[in-house]
Amino acid sequence: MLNLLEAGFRRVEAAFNTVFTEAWNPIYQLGALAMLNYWIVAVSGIYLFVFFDTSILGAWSSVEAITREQWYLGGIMRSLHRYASDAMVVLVTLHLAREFALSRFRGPRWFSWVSGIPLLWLLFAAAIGGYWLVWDRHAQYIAVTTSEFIDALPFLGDGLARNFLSASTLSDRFFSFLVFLHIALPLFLLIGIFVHIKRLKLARIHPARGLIYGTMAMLLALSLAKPAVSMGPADLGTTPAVVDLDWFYLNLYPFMESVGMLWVWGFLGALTLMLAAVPWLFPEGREVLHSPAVVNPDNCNGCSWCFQDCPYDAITMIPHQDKPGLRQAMVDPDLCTACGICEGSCPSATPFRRVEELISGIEVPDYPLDALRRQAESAIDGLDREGLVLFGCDHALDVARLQASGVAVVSLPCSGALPPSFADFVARKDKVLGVMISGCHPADCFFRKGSQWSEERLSGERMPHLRTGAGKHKVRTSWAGPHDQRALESELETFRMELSSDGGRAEVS
Amino acid sequence: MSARTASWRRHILQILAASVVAAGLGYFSNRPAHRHLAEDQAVIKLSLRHAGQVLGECHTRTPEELADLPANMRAPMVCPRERSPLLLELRLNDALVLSEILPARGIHNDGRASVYRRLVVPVGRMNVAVRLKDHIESDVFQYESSRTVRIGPAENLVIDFNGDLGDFEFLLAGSLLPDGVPSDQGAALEDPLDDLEARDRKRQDDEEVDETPVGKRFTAAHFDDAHYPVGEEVEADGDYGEQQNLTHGRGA
Repeated sequence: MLNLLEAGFRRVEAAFNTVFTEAWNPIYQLGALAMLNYWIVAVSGIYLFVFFDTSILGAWSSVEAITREQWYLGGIMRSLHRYASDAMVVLVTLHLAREFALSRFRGPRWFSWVSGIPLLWLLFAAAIGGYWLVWDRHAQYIAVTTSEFIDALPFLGDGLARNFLSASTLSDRFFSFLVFLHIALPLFLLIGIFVHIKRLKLARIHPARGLIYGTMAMLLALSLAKPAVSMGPADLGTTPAVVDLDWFYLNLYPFMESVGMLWVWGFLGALTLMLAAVPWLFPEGREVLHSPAVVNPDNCNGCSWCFQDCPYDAITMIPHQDKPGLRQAMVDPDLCTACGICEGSCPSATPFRRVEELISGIEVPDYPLDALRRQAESAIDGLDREGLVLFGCDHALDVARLQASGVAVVSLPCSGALPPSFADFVARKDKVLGVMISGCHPADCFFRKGSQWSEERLSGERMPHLRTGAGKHKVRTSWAGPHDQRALESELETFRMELSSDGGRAEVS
Repeated sequence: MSARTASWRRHILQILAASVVAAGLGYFSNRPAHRHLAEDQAVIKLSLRHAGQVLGECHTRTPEELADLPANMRAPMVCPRERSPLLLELRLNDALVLSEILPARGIHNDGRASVYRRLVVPVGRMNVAVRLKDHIESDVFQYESSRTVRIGPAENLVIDFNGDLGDFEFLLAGSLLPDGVPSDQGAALEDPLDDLEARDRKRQDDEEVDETPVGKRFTAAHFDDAHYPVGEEVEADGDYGEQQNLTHGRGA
């Protein structure tokens, strides 16, 4: 199932890459886009609250006044409030589905996965509570049905729905409570989001600028073309027979009527538990290494580059155990995803060292530096002619498929796990025309930052830099998704031709 | 294709994609409409919050019992706290549509029992009788009330037990609309029976209603006195007016 879902997402991503480019691909930025919509909802909500009358008799009229008398601003704000909320639930659902499809919930990532589940409840509660405030027929239907839904829980009694028996049983105080909830729940949601991304270093909470402008323009155009409007005022003497439902949030309401409240509670409870159990229900795939990174104090000089690069905040710096005045890295095994990015950042992780067994200051036991050097040497030896060495990340394209005459392949857990000195080490070999490093697109790295750090290290923007006597033109990156095999083959061929030309050869030699 | 052309083509595709997303958001944010009630249906809301009678009698403690207690707890009289469950019944045109035992709330069963039920019923005139027994072992119902009402489409008949009055209150189309709201609903509420009388007369003229078998399915017409006289014995079984459609809300 996961494979099918992943394949589906990858195809859609590939199509979106064509239309939006990798940097603007909204599928790569679902969480950040949801966050953008959160802020649109928050800002428009604050504006609406200024003009909103917090009373039973005044609520509907004030919303009507906002919608019609100041349609040019208040009406647009209301529509933005509605449509951004709807967009948010779509984005969040896609975000969840994609993280699931791409297996980004295992190991230490369970925390982000599980902490996201209460956010779904909070999001729905905040949005559905907001609909009550309009106090139109739609709101009345939602208020009564939601109250009955909550009252259906045996331990809560029959108290809530009694508020809506008739106009005389509903008080302004209850309405004020609803307003309080509609402000408090989104704030709790914000706190929940903070917890959700707490374990991620440099979490992406802002989408690409082009996407921000595009989203704003789209929502604005929609607000002008189809402004959000109210139904008639709520009337507790009658029951709304036909309701214009917001299907993004209220899709279960018809089921509450047809199959019963307790069944819907059962369904939601089971779904919540199942989602919460996902990290433990699905066995680990081939790609996940088990053992967290370990620090070798003898080789750790306390530079803190690994500390800066770890995308999961799994590394802290502590006083060195043997060298007074120096620091050393310490890994929290509960947070470490064994991506190997720390290994790629370690200055002692260089194959040029003259030691029998190559051990770096920090490395992943399942993928030690010494093994990487042996793999690289073996790949070079395997070249049947002068050619290219391709280092590829396991989570992007399966680089083993590109093994061919004149192309040797080394597989990595993450492109960020490759110390730049390895590219130099390989590029200096006589049989090697050039080195290509491939992996997930930086906007969609499986381990979040591997491709980006790798790119920055090679271009000299991040430590450790690529220093090479072979010439930097011999090292190139190409970010390729699982469906980009042809593109990568084409890039390899272009790279080979460039290096094989006289100019290239002259520079190399 | 030049880079410029490719860029324009890409922008057009982006706008198209955004338009599709916007159309989806715009449409599903309030369409398709959901029909919550059929045109010939109305709602009865039955609500109650009431404490049953205390079960058992107070009794005076014997000197031995008192001596066994700590000094600060030697009250000479001890009264049980547990309250009886309530028995609530609702009949429509003498057909029993709801009979429910409502347990007292609280760990010691000493709180008030409460209930809220929403019943979807066909529109029309009907006799609504509700009664409450606040001691489950009592032979009689302590509280009884009935009304003949005519409920129009989508109207709510609220039956709420008022503990202070010790009686059931019937509220039909009780409405409080915002000031200055032109609402045809509001006008209808002033005299909700007028239109319905005319509608019922028309239906009697138009429809040829079959003879209603006792205890069988009901239609809106069956709630009209002309076809289903109040007081006729009805078998209170699951066939009453398609029970699954009659009751919604809790316990549905």
